[in-house]
Amino acid sequence: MAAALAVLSAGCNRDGVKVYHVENADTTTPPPPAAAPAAMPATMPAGLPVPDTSTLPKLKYTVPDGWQEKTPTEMRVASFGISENGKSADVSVIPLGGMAGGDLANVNRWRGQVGLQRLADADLQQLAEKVEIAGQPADLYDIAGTGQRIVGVIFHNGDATWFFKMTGDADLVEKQKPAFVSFLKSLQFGEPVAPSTMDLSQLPSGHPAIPGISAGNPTAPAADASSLPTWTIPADWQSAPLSQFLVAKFSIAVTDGSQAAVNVSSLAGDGGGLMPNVNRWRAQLGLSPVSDADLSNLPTMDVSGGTATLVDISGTDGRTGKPARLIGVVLPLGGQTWFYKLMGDESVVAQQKDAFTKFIQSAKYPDAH
Amino acid sequence: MLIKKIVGCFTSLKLTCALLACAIVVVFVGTLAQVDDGLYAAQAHYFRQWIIVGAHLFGREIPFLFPGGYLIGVLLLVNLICAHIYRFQLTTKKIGIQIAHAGVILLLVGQLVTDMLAREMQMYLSEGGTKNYSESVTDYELIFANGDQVTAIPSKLLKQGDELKIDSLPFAIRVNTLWKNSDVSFRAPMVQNGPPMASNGIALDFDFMQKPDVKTTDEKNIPTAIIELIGPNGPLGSWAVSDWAGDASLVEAVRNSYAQELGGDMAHNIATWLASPQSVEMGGQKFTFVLRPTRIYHPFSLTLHKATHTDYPGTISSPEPEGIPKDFRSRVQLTYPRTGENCEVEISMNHPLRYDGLTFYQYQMDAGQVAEQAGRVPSSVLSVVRNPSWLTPYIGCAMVGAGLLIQFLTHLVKFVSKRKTK
Repeated sequence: MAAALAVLSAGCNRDGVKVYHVENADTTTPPPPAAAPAAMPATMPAGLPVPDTSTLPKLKYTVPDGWQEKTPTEMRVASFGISENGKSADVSVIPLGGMAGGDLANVNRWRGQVGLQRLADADLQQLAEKVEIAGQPADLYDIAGTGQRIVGVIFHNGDATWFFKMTGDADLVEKQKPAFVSFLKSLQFGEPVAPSTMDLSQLPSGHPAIPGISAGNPTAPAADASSLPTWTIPADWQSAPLSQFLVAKFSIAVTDGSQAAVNVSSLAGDGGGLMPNVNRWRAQLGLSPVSDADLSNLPTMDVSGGTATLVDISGTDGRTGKPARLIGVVLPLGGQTWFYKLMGDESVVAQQKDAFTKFIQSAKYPDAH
Repeated sequence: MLIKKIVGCFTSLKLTCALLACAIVVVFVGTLAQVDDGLYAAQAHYFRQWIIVGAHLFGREIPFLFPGGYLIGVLLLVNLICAHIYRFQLTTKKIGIQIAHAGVILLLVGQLVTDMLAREMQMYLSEGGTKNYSESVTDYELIFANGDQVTAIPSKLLKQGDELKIDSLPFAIRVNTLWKNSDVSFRAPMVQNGPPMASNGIALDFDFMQKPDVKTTDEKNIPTAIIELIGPNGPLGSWAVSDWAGDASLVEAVRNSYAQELGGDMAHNIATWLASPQSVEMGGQKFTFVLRPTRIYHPFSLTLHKATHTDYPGTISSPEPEGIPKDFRSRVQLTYPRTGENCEVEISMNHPLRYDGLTFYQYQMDAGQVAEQAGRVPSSVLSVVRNPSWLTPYIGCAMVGAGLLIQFLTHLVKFVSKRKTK
């Protein structure tokens, strides 16, 4: 029995705090080994949004001498390479919807790429050099690190944000800066059309598939008209162009300029689960994530076909920086999950809440019998 | 009188039968529960338990109060030992029964020792990489390293909302958020990110999301916590600590998944950012911290020279680029500075390396043509098992078998000789 007790105590010691010494400082995760360069990317990973640039205005420009035009990739609408005396630089043009994460975050990320410290918001304006693109002001950031240099321009045009970036060997980037500025001056936008509709809020939260660890969220098969639900649409809702992952979109504008939008999307299975989706909505309003316990307190509502979970939150819209309210409804139904989202200015959302509820209750799903 | 009653109770065959009946029920219910709860959770709830309160079967909570595996095992052991001592007679007549009983006792004790002392770990090695430690598959630790001193806090001690004070650390650790399973995504530049989850470190470049716990044995939970460090003069800041950043194989998996889409250079940067150490300075001391699988250090090290994955010839085709695997083998260098041992060993399926009380089995591998084409560094995962009582089931079963055989033979001989005399 004494032996058994000794064994028991040895087993129990596993769960206590341990202090020990190691010979070398091998205490952190080893840095990943360098790998052979993989092939050029063809598509974006599941966790990263693929911008829809089909509705963006066509860009016209004059290519400076010595720049080689490259085939644009999925994110880039224009791409150039510069090489000189064994040194190289890369120029990219990327348009995205909304505020695209904010100027500070993007400038700080560029600074991180060349090994510089992050900036505070107040320092950002001092760094910005004013430039003009197609007659409108834009901010240029010249970020010189050790060996590498980035000259980046952030241009807010309507509801879209355009990024023009030259990156490469510091000497070459410095030498090419006048050519880059002249390239910016040559830019002309075609007829303005709707901005890029890329909106991370429509994507299931997730990350690239990790073999053997988790499966991604399969999106529902592409919906044709016959597989879509039918709704009774309130008179003051206007159908809006669909972006990726959406099966229906409506905009609601009020005469005083305030507005809101209704998005309907559908994902296969549980759509990644209630928690990640609720937290994704919360993140859009700058709210901290909630835990399992908080989720169980969420109200539910009976709708045609089942019971839906209701989320009603207020915060600050990350894209506009204005106060906003979001009412979301998550409805699991017949092997897929429907997401309804009403989001916009507080007054409009409050006023439209009943219409939104009736709209959801009016739904007739094709597979529901 | 009372003592006699107690002795009678503990030595009774009725108790043995009742306990065996209970064991059958627990094994039955515990096995069914694995459908819903998964292997590890069911083991913890039914078998590694003194009293089972409530059962989760067929998606329902069922009121259930029953002795757990530990209680049944210990009572059975006490019952057997008591009966063994009480009824022990050194006669040739009963020698078979005595040996069979001793065998069953050895089986029970051996299982207890295995449960308490056996460990199953893994060692992940990239080609060219060296390690002198193995990592737990299910347990995690939050470590703070200050120079060569490491303070390791098992993740079981971290509770959401708690504040931990550890003697060897000059600050307290407040656990703001703790997720048993989580996901990671790179806060890609130029997309609509929410605010970072913590004010410092990797949270500025990565978002972590809670995920439902996984229960099957071929998936694993990857914990993440948001911690706040509090010095004597107030908070020092908040950080995200995650196994995504603390486990080299996961960092590599994140890198590989981004490599296909963003190119090797960008993916390498993302992986480097994810694995970059997080630290806090206080009183002239620097504390580097990470949440990682619990490590067991060995006095020797293994270096992976070559990971070889061979397929059966002709089985690789475009619909089946992986082919049908024929063999996995890892050529490793074993170095033990204290004994001066330095030799090359090959570990392959069914040919483990047994060394220093540990057994290294070939477990997983990312090598061969597919890994090569994807530009991945070949790597190998060894399953590392320490089980000091691995021989007890063999000896116990042999004793039970021998005891029963002796007993039957004794009876047979007696019976045959009686018939002869008649």
